[in-house]
Amino acid sequence: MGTDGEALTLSTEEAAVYDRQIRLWGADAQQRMSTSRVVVVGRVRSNLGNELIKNICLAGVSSIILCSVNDVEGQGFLGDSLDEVRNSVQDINRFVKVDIFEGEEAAANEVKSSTAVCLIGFDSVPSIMSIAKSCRQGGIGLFVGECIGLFGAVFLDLGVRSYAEEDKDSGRLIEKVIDYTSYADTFDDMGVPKAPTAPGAIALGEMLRIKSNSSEDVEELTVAYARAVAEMYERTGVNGKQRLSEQHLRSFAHAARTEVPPVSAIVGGIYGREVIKYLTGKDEPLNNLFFFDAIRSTGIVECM
Amino acid sequence: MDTVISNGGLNGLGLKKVLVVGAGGVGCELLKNLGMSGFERVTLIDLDTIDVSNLNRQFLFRKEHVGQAKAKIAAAAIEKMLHGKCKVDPIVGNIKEERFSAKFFGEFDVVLNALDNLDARRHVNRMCLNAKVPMVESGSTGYLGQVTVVHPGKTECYDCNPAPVPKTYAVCTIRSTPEKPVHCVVWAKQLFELLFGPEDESNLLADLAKNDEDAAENGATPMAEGRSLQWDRKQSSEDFAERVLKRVFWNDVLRQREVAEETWKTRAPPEPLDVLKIAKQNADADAPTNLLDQLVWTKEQNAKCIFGVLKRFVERRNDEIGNIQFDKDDDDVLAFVTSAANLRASVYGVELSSAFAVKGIAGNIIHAIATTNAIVAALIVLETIKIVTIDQGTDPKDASLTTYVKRFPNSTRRGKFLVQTERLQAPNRACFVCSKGRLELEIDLSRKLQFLIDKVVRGNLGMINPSIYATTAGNVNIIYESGEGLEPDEVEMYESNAKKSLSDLNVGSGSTLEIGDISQSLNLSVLVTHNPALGSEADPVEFSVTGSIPESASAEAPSSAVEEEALQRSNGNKKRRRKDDGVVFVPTSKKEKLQMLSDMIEIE
Ligand SMILES: [Zn+2]
Repeated sequence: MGTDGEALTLSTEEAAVYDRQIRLWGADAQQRMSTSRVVVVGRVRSNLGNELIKNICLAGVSSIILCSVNDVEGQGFLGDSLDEVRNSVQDINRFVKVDIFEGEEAAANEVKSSTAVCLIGFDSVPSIMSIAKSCRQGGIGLFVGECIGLFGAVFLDLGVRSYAEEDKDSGRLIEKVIDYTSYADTFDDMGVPKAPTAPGAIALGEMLRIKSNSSEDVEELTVAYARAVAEMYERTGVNGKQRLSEQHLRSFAHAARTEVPPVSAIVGGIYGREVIKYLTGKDEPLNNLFFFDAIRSTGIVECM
Repeated sequence: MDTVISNGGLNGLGLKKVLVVGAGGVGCELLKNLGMSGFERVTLIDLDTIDVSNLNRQFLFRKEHVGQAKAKIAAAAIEKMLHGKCKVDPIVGNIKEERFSAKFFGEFDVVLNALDNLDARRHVNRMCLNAKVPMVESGSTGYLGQVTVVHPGKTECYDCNPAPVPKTYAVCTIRSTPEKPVHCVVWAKQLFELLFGPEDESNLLADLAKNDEDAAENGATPMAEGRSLQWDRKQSSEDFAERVLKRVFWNDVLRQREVAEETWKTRAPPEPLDVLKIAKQNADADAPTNLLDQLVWTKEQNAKCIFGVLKRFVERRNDEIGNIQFDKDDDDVLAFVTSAANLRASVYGVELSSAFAVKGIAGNIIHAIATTNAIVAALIVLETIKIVTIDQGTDPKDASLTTYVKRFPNSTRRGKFLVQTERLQAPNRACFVCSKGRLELEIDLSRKLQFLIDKVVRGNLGMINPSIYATTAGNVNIIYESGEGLEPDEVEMYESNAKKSLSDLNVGSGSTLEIGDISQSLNLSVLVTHNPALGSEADPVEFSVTGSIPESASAEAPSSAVEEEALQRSNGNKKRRRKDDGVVFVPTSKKEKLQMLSDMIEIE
């Protein structure tokens, strides 16, 4: 990095703006980023959506295509309407081209010509399965992120992915490969994990079930939420002595319907980091689930 | 966190008064998160103006804001973003100014550090201890991040862990036997400061200015005070450049071949370079101008560049000479350091570097990216919410956490952690800041008082406006005072003291120095031991400061296992050490322990 004598084809102005990150990931990585098209599909106006969009926009991709599907309003910081969001994103980095579409059909089209596809919400896009399949066919990286109350997760399906890793002894870059489990093998048609065994995946499944539960009955939600949290903690070794009080359970149930801003920022940060790794081909990508728990402030990685 | 939600969501946060120190990468994200989470009363302090290299992560700033005050632009951006729901009160200033007193800090419910330098972090820590206000501390470097909390008197303060030791190189490696590009860059920076900066007796190349035997040879008159290498105000720019280049790349290289004779038995000796000739031979070629480019200049380009820039300083900036600070963003300075380092590298057969790389090394640039900043800022808010909503009676040690953001998942028997926590520790009883530990100083007493003030009192102890009383054999003597309210004759006296050696000021082995800083409410008792070997070629460490538990306190038996641990640690066990930017990194050997601690953290 920096000593390989490689000439930049980025403009002087871009080199000045991206200086600090070029020092971290190298000019070649920045170059690759500047040829990438990232499609963001689903709740682009959620806080998690906004966090991710901001992060990849700052990183300096070539273009960001926002496909709003089953979107929310008034939860993010980039603006209420899609136009406001577009203007804010454009404002953050004018080297990035920003496009906005609404609905699933547009999304299906845009996915085919993209470098990476980022879904916001497992349940936001009914056609998620077919998007996942066209990503597999096209060799396009698929990412899905979700924040539910005090928890959040990012899932990655990068197909058969090779990446460069620095050899600890020689410092040379060596190529490594991860064969990802496909989205279709991991999730059912409703976007819920099929047979989760790891604690984060189990919790994610339960959270998604609770979220899709249209019941207004707080008691019912409370019980479901409690089961999910207890199950997760039992598997991560937090059990026995620590019973969740009735009050805690209620608080979880209430939180399950909202986004907690710092949680979205943390999950959006890890999400952005993984998308950047994918676009630059540097560093080992996560395989294949990141799960964040704001009660304990811990973020775990597991393979679903 | 769950308690917060059950207490009626995030409502109620709007009444809390929050001080944010720093509107940089973490600061911008932090303000957004605070506002989004329901905080409404935020005061923001930052001294800095916006630079173009901030725009890749400080997302509240735009190109048209470059040059304007960060605090003001950030406050206005948040106001607009959140439609006025969060009021940010901007203060353009240095947090170390006396107007930000303990009373000022005491008006806040919590203080959040989003800083990028050690001095300010240490100062804010002291102010928060004085004002008894909880502080959240943060750091972000590349892919690594860290957030921790200080509950005054109840948990470790920022100074409870040893201050970082700045990275130093053996004098002879820099002066005579460079092996890596970094050695040449350090040398070039020293040469820059020698030629254009304020006088500094600890400059590694000081002898280069004093040993003026080539001056006569070159027909120049040796100057008084041994500063012959500097521009003498009567010299033409061309003569100046010629003399410098001849001295450092030819005469001195020949001398170094003799000095380090042993070294050249195992590696090729340095080859002197007639830089002037190379520069003039290629008179038609353009000197390189693009300092952001990662291309490595050729020897000819470097020669041309240094010849040009030396002349430029005399022709265009001669009124500044003797007072120019190293500044990585000053193009002349960077061009000088890059070409000087590369010519030195040519002489010694070391690999050459691009201006881009030299800027990074010479400017100690900390790699900074948006994603890590975003995560760190969000972790600060999680801790802040816990602090301001903590139930009476809850031990703050159990409520708050230290959180680490890692580059790769850390495998443990409980799973792989990318975001990992650690419990807060009790204060270190040997800490000279929060536990009034006693200090011992070993130093060569022929050092000037100025050295003690700059390197020990300001540098190591982190004081800003110190006063120093020396007690030797029962006689107390005020040797130094600073800050506001001094009479002109006092200022004069202390300035003259600063130029005297410690022994001339009657400080000897066994003397006690009472070193204090009223603004930090800090008063230390320091026992002095004379050690003439420190700072020599054999032992480049210039002084040593060690802390110990005061006798009165150490006589008490530790009352708990935690205190026992704190005690052991203070007795010399190695603890975590901060890196230059203040981020603590946990060594791998601590991984298991860290995991066990994280397992102990309970749901409530
Ligand atoms: Zn302390």
